[in-house]
Amino acid sequence: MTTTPAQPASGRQNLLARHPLVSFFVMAYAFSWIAWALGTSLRMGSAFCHTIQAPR
Amino acid sequence: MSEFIMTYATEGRVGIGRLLRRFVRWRVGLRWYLFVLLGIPAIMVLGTIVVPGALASVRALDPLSELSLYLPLFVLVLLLGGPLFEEPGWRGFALPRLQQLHGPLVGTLILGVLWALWHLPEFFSPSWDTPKGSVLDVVWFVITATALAIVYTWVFNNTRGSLLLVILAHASTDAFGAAILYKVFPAKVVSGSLVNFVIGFGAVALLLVALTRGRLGYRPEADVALTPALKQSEEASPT
Repeated sequence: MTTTPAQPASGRQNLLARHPLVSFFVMAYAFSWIAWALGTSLRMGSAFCHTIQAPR
Repeated sequence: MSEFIMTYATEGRVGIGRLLRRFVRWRVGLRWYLFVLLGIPAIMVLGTIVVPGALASVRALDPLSELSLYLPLFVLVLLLGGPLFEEPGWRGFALPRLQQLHGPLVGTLILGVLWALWHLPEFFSPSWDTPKGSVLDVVWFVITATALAIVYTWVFNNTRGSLLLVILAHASTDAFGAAILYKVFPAKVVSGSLVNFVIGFGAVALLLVALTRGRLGYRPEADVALTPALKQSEEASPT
């Protein structure tokens, strides 16, 4: 009987599959914290622009 | 988003289908809806009235007008706040795996702490309405989130892994505090601290752990949230 070999998964996918929980938490923290940091930077940038425009 | 990436990486399209179906697992028994929609607010009120000074500040509200405000806010919190975006990851992806690896209680404690710490940047956000003036506030927050995680795990396990019910539970927690609790109890001791939640959810969490002997409704033989493929892969490489 012949069997079809499974499609070899990419290295990255293998890593995710081997460590699903660690990968999930790293991604969950990274995506959200980066989004928070960007949001905060934009807000601070906007506030700074208002501050330097105010004297006019 | 992470839960969808990880589910696809570990279980493929079949896993995504299973995850999505748990969003609409609504046939779980009326008592669970009553618990998440009325029981959780009741826990919050009970935890608050034992805080010294809280009862003295009670303000009567017009039930009809408050209810007409509460329902839209509930929907808003559910759709745009944490519940809909957080729960598929924490309870949908991580909890079943943590329970399988470490058991329901230890798995939930790990998840509770990680869930709480994930909120850390919010402590620097002026728009976040959770008390955040001191390190003690962070400690209360971690304890509250861990106690809440125990309550949510109990709901999740008893509703065959329904994401809908934990999303409703999370929305109930967030919306009731913002819309009703702080208006009924305007005392600074309530709005300026999470002690009332530590007392309320902490007591319920301890009660659930004692009554279920740490099982929190978990049935390994059912393990509805995990796919057979995932079980095999984790048995092969216990990481």
